[in-house]
Amino acid sequence: MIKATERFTPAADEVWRLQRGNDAECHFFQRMVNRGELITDKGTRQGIWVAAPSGRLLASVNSTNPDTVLGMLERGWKAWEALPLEERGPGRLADTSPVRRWEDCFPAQGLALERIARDLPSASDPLESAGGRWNRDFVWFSATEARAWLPKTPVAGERHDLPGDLAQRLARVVLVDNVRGQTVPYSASEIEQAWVRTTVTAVEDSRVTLTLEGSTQADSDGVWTEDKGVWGLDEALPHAMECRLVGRAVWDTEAARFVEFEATALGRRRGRTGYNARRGDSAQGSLIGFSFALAAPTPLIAPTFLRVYGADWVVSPD
Amino acid sequence: MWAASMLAVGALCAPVQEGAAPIDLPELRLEDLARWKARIWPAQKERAWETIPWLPSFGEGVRAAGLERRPLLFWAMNGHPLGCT
Repeated sequence: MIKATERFTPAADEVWRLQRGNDAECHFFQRMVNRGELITDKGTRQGIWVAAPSGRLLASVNSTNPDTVLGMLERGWKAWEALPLEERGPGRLADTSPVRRWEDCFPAQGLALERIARDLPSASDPLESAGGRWNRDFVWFSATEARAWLPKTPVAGERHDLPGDLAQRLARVVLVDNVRGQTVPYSASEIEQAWVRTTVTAVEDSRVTLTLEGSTQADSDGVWTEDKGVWGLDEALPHAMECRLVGRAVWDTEAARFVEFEATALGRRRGRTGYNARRGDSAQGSLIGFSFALAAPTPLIAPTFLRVYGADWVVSPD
Repeated sequence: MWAASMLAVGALCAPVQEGAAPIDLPELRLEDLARWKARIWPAQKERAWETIPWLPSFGEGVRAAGLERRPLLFWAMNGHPLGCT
C-alpha cells in the first residue's frame, strides 16, 4: 500500500471545514468532489480522493479495505496517465494564499504533547495484554503554561500544583473517550476533580527533573451545550471518565522548555457520546490507557478541542 | 501521599449504574511508566501509514501536486487524519 502511494503527492486534512467553508481552498475542494459544484447538502465527503492539481477528480473511495483502496489508486493513476500533459499543471488554487488555520495558534516556545489513547481489557491484566483500538490527539500549552508545570525556583524535593485551569484542560478535553471515534469535551461544570502535582526530584545544571502525579474525574449528563463548533449531538447521552496519572519530565532552564516528557494515565470510562462508537457497551464501562510524549515538531496538527481551551492565545480562524 | 490521593479518588467515585459494579483501576506506579508506554503506544507496524509523507493540509497538497506535476492523493476525514478522527 505504502509503495503504491509513491506516485502521488499525499495530503491529509479535516473535511468538516472543507466541505462547508467559503474560502478559496474550501470551494476548490467542494468543486473537486462535487462535480464542479459547491456543496449544499450535509452528506459527508470523508474518503480518499485522487485528483489532478487542477481539481479534476480522477478516482475516489471511502473504505478501510486495503484491496479496495489499492484498486482506487490504480484507477486514479490510469486516469492521470490518460490526461493530456497540459492538464497536469497547477490549477487556480496555486494563486491563492493559504488560509489561516487552527495550527497557526501554536504559541512560540509552546509545549506540544502527543497523546495516545488505547482500549485496555478490563477482565485481564491490562499491562500484560496486547492490542486494542487506539487513537491519538495533541495537547498544547503556551510557553507560560509549560513553565507553570514546575515551581518558580525549583529545589529538589519541592512540590508544586499545576494551575487549576491547566489541570482542568486535561480533564475537559484531553482525558476523554475518543479511542473509537470523535467525542465531545466536558464542560468546566462537569469536572468533579482535576489536579496534577509535580515534585522536583533533581536539579543538575540546567536540567530540572520532575515527577508527575494527578487525578481527574468528569461526569456528564450528556448534552453538549457550549461552543457549537464542537461536533456533538443534542441527544442526552450520559458519560463519565475517571483517571489517575503519573509521569516524569525534564525541564531545561536554558532552553526554557521541556526536553523530556513521559506520562501515563489510566482511566475508567462509562457511557457514550454521539459518535464515539460505544453504543451497546456494558453499563460497567471499560478501561482506557493514555500515554503522553513530546510531539514531533512536524507535522503540526492542532488539538481537536483547541477551540474550547479558553486560553487567550487561542484565536479562532473562523 | 499518592496512596492517600487514590483513596480519596475512590471515595469520590459515584456508582456507575445500578447493578453494575465499577471496574477497578489498575495500580499505576511511576516505576511502571516505561512498561505502560510500551503497552499503550502504537507499535511501528500500527503507525506504518505515517511513513507516507502526508502534507498536513488540502491546500498544501494541491499546490505541491501542481509544482511536482503529480496527481494528488488526498485523505479527508472528520477530524484530522494525522490527529484525532
